[in-house]
Amino acid sequence: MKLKKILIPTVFSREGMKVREVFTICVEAGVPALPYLNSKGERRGFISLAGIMHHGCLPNYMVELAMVLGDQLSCVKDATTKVRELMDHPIEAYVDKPLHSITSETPIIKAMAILEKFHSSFLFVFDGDEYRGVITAQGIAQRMLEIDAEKSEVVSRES
Amino acid sequence: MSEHSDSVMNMIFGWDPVWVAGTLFVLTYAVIMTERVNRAIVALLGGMLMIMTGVLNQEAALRGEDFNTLGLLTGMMVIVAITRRSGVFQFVAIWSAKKVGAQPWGILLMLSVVTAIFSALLDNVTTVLLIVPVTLLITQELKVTPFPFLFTEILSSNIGGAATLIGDPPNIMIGSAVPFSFNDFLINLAPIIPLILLMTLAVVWVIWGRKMHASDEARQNIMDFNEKNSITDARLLKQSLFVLATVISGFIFAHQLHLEPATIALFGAALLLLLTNIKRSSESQAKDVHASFAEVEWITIFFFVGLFILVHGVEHVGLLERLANAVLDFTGGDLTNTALMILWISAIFSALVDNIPFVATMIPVIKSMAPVFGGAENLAPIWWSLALGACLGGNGSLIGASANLIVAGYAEQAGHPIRFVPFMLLAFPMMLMSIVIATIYIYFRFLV
Repeated sequence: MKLKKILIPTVFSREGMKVREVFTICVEAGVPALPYLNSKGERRGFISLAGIMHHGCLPNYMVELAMVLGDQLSCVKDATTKVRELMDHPIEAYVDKPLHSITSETPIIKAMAILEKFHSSFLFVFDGDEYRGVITAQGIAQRMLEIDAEKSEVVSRES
Repeated sequence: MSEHSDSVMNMIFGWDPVWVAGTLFVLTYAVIMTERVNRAIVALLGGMLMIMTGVLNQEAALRGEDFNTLGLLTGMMVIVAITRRSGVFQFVAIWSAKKVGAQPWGILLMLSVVTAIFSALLDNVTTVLLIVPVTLLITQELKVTPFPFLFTEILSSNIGGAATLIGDPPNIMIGSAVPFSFNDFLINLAPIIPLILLMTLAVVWVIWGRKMHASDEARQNIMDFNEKNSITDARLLKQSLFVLATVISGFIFAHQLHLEPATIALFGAALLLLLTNIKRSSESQAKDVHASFAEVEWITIFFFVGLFILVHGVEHVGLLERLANAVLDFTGGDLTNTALMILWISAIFSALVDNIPFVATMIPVIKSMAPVFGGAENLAPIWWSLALGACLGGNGSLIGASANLIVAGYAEQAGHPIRFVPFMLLAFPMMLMSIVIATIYIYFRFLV
């Protein structure tokens, strides 16, 4: 089982982009993150939706006290303004350190082991300097379902 | 020359051991003060160099270790780490904020008192780590600036920590070096703490409190908080509170039980680990025990390990005895002058540098003064001066105590930076005020 079949090709996120652009690319491609290039075109890490939401919307104290929060919160009222502000924000503040990447020849089981090792739900695929795309836990699950369906089809044809 | 005559006391590579020990000591303290390298690394390196250069041999170095301090700190850290998982501390903080109808000044008052009480029973860093998130959330909802709240909590944490044997590392070290019990600290130090806290809060009221205001709607948001939801594990809560109560009772009755605080704290830690793991699989137990031990602040523990060797090294070569003689020459061997001088010097030092190395150095210095004052039993005013000076002095600046830096770091992360100079401009005079109160207390309680 190789990665090629579950690879989702995307563009890079680049220095100077706004959060809005990254959200749009990620939502359209169905990926949780994009690799990040600085102004010199060098890979400097990645931008993830979860990272932007955590750092852009959720102070640590709200996370720590999530259980005690009531339904009425001051920030709920200003939500629209806050969302607008976040969307216009440059992405540089949300760049995370580079993740371990894999190649398109990597077996899925190895990719799954790396996902587990780094508690991640995605990995970037590079063949040398060539960026191929993103693989996600959902993509792997989908591929497993496909294999299962193919096998069932073969069994039913044989019987 | 002190008691460990089996240690190497010959010339080291042709150098006088006094110079080697003194240079190592000064260099290590200087590097600790720069805060460029983690203090545990520096202290441990300094301690090991004391052995490697031959100032002490390993046996003598181990005799310098204060296992009572190390055991008490480690035991309490494990107990608090497990207890905080139950959410009880957050419950108390939010419950107290709601008790005053979510009025900003009332909340500041309540959180400060809760901080002082928690700090007297837990370590200060843990206390502020529990209180600061609640404070930031509340001030966000009330739409008031968090600085006065955080500022007062820093001060309250160091003030409250001065009240008990287990409240602050300097007290733990003093309690371990001198046969003072938990009750001795309660009887001799705790009575002045409410007055110092009250005066501090009075100043805070004049500066900020009287102008604090929040809308009814914002206050309602706080009243809608459900503090009961912070209790995530009721069984763990009962177990933790039971063990915490047992340990505190153990401290109170330690004298009658003939037990040292370290034994009580480590027994409490082991008992709580047992209670929380008893019905689990061995794999789950290993995971839980590992997680609990991982929450011990090993940086602090190893900092102490290195520091004790370092101080024992300079004590061993007789440097601290010379320092004690210099202090006594300056004060004319008068108990009042010496106690008050120690109080003020401790406060000023602790405001500017880490109070732990300072207290670690002062303990043998004060011990060696015993013959001048007619025996160790007459040194009590000096010990209480050291405790109050070192603990309260931590309020003088942002770097005066670990808890101060923790609050500043957390606040900065949340977008509310606390700057060094503005903090010190307010905190230093308030620290001096607390030392003036402590001076009057020490004088009338112990010296007349």
